[in-house]
Amino acid sequence: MTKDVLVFGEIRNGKLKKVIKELISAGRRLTSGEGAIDAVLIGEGAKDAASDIDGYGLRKITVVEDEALKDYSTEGYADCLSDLIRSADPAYVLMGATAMGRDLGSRVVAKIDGVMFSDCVDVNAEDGRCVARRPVYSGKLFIEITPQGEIPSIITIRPNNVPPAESVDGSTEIVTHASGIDRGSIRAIVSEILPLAGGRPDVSEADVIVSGGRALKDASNFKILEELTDLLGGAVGASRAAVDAGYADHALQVGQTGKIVNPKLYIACGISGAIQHLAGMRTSKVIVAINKDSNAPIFEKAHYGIVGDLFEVVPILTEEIKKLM
Amino acid sequence: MTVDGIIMLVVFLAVLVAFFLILRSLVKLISVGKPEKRFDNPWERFKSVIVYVGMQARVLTQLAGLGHFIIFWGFIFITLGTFEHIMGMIIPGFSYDTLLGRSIAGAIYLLQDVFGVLVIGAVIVALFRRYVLKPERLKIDDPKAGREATLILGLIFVLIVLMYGIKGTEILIERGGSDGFYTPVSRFASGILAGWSMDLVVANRVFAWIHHLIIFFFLIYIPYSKHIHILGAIPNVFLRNLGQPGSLSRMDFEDENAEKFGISVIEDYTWKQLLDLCACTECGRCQVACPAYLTEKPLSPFRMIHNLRAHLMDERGRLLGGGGDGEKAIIPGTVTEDEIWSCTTCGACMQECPPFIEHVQKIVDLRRYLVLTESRFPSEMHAIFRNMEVNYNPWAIGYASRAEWADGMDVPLASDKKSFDVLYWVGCAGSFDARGQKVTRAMVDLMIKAGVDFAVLGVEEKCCGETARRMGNEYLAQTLIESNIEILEKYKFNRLVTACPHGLNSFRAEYPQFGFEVETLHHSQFLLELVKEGGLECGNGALGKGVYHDSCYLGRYNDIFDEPRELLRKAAGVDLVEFGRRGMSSFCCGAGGGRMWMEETLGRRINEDRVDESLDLGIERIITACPFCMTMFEDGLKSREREDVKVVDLAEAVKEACGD
Amino acid sequence: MKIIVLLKRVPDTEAKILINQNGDGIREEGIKFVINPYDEYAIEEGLLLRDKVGGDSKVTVVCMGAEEATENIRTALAMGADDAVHICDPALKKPGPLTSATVMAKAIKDEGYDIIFCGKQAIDDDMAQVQGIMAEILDIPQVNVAVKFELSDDAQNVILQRRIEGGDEKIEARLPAIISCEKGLNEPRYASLPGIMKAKKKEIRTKSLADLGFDDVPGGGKSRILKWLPLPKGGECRMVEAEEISDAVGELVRLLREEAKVL
Repeated sequence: MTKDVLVFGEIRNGKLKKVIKELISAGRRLTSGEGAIDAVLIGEGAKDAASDIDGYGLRKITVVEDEALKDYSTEGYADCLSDLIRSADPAYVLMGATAMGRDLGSRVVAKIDGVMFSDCVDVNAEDGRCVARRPVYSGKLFIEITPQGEIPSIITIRPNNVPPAESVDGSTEIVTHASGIDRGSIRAIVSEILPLAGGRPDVSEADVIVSGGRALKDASNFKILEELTDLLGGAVGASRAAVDAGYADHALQVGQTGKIVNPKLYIACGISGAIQHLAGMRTSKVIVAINKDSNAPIFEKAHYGIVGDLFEVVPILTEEIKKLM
Repeated sequence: MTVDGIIMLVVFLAVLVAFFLILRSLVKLISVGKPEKRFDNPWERFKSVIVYVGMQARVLTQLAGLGHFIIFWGFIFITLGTFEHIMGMIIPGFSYDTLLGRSIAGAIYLLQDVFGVLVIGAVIVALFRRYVLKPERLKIDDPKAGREATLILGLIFVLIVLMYGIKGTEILIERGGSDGFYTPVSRFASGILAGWSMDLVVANRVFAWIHHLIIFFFLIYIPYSKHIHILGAIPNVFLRNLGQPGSLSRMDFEDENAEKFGISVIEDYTWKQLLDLCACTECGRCQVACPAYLTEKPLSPFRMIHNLRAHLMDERGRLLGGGGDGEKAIIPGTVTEDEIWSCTTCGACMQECPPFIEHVQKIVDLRRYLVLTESRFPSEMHAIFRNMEVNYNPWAIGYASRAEWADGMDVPLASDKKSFDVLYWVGCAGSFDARGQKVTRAMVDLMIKAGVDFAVLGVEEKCCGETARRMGNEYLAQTLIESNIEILEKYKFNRLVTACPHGLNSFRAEYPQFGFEVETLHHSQFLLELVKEGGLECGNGALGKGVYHDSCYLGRYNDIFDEPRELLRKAAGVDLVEFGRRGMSSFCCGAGGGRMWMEETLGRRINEDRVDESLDLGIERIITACPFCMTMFEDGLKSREREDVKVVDLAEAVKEACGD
Repeated sequence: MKIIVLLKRVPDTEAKILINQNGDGIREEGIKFVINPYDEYAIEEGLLLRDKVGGDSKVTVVCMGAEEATENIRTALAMGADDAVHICDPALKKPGPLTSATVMAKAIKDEGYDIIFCGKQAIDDDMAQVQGIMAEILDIPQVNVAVKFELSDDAQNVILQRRIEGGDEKIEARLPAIISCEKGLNEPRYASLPGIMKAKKKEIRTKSLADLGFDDVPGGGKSRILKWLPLPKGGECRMVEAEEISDAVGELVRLLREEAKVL
């Protein structure tokens, strides 16, 4: 086993996901001068996408644009990637903890007889070994875990946690690889991609929810929340009071008698936080409360709070986040 | 014996036999139901009959009841007279005069005579109410019901008129010993009849025959109409629930092969429940007391009982052994799921019902079937059941956090003390709901101040099971109850005090079914005791005006009305204002029966109705004695955008007044 | 059709998870253990499929866990599963995904199977690897994070929708296959009381490692947990205040990005 790092770049719709730069950053920590960082890009558009990561100090970028692998399939990509791993023999294989990464990684780890650490939020090298930090028990605790023995480790890393790598001088060799995989041998095929209906995820599955209460005063005012949530790729939620008053549809109701949600970010606008509502969103990872009333019970459960008029705060928040993107 | 007499004898005997057969088949029909023990305490039961049947005590709680009182007693005396007349046709010379002596006979004749007029008056008023005033309580969407009532009223009217016809003509032909002395009205009638040109003897015979035939018709018609209540009501009063009104039946889960739990077809009900159906007078008082009906939900206790009775009669053939098409489910043909789930179990219907029909148990029985056998219930309840199973509270809050309300306080734990005077039952709302926790802390502060030897169970406490039981999940309820009893039996204490009327009711009315009995007090009773014994010193608290809301499970089910009021006046110095609908007639907040956890999508909101009632009183404070009521009022005030009106619990009001 | 459903016993989502005295695991008192919530979708989908296909189709629950897991297996049986295999061995202490997948795959092979359902991840370790590893061991296709499931008309394939970022992939896979289930796939049923009663009599086949032909724990020792870390103490709500609302919001955004890492 070498001391190298192999970074897997996810290509969707011909575009390379930007998490790869974060993976490269992590890779640099792991190799810290001793090993090299290689990248593998599989899928239609891989060759063009390779230029995105040319100039980041990688040793080699392998692109695979076989017809059989132009779209993602677990078996196809796993077979191909495993072959490449076996020939390169890296110590670490890094992937983004995305739908593809999680799916692919668990198949590959069995093929290469390695170990996999899923959904890590941080990766560092300590005494020449990788130490990965990952959440457990739905994020109530974290563990730091390290591989044992000379086995390759697959590490999937959550996007937006490790700072992305800066570019460096020099360019990287781009090599084409033919996987030799026969499409007929792939037993699970993607026939089409269906974009989310209405563009927004269902509130019970969304990772980000911007929720409004009675203080919205009118159904049309929910537009302010929609703008914010669309920026973040989330869903709009509502308290029972808002639904009763006709400001929002019942499908958006969060609470004891509505939907129970578990997003990473819950922004409660003008919601007082009575237990009936809290029962629906208590387990949200991060709760932000915006309310005119500093005594509103929601502030007892929120992680961050702003006492203010949501009609003032939310538009400014939207602008600030737009600046980030 | 005359020809008349022979024919009358034959017809009379035939009718008696028919009536007897009908009675027997009704008894057989009701016996199809499951067993139930109701024959305990016969003396108490007999007294109930005197008060509620003889004195028509419940009927007379409303002015219109006077009409029924008149018709009821009128009919008894008139029937006595009819019997005398029929017997007189069969056995010439048969009369009460000869049998019972002048004075008793005279009394009977007089009463019969006077009541006749009163009955006519009552019938006219009844028809006027039904067709001109059209009171809400008589509204039912089955046109047959109205037609039946009108037919019966009409026939009664005709019967009385014929009675005076018989008596009047008798006076004129000086027959039957009726000299009109004890029958002033009949004498008056005879005056009118004197002017007729028809043959008096013939007229008398015609009047008598028509009269008696109508009576015979009545006898046979009774079981097929709402007049079955004549047969059913008196036994129903005798067999009424003498136990705690707030207890539901305990189900037995011993049979591991049972495929069905709860009631799905009519014969699953107990015989007493089937008798209930035959006791309904269709007065509709339950309907206009029902918070669900009054807020335009599909449920009407009146209609439910009416439909169940009609269904029972429809199924007679099959139930009495006539084959038929097989079992017919009660849901949805006779009672719909929306009706079943709309009930808050407030008990107002049962409180109003003159023949003591038990509506709530019937509804819960249907819920039991839906929940336990078919797992078919409003989707919101799935999570509630799950939460109670896993974390012993209806909210999804980890059970290990149950005692967090006590953080920062020095609250004695039962597991430390082991033996103490009072166990304070905090309850789920008191433990987990931020608003409820404030009440718990207020109460605990007061108890510590008064030096009460108390303890709480802390995390050992589990939901008392009341909600699960009312929602029909008897299995879950029993699991919780048995779990709690196991814990409670580890400790020695004299009394249990709780701020939640549902918990109170559970411990008073339901835990004894499982072998656990303890003197249970509501916190208002306990606080009043402390104040009276001097343990709590409350200065002249002057908290101003406030209205006190009687919770259904505190007042109606457990008869606690005065202590909270006394406490508020004495200790908290509240200038008490009363709701129009208060005491036994208090209007439900809408949260009972598990409704707190369900969406209210049909009709208007019950809590908003009650809040509107309170706003009309123009006060700034609403005082509650129950965490459910408190939540309902606060929610309602929020929807009405009147958060300037504050809702406080009794304990908080007392604490404020006893402030340091 | 022989339907297998994987089940794991995990702490309830509402349980307070604290690090134990030794710092090498979690404190187990005060924790209620339940069926992994995502496994419930798997059970439900298995039951729906069995009832759709009919015939002599069966749903067998496979659970690897401590003795106490029997309680959770009974719950699955109460929902309607037909029987279960409970892999229980004192040597199996906190097995990792490779161990779990290897042992369960053997048990499943012994049972025979046409389709395997499982939850998309277990909410204790959140690894989400067992399905991929098992698929490789059994050499069958896998479809993860399914939000929609359908059996093809000829019952040889399955048609699913799998949740990815911003949409769903429509996938057709050949049976036998392993499907991991996501929230929204179905509404898990509430066990009826007759179901609970019947569950007491349904068969649970207990297997030790030896029964499955393993001399010792396969796939172990590949990683080591160095440290358990609690969440940073953030009990209080961080009120973000400033003279100008725009400054407060700016600060909030910074905190969300850098501290909470949600942006």
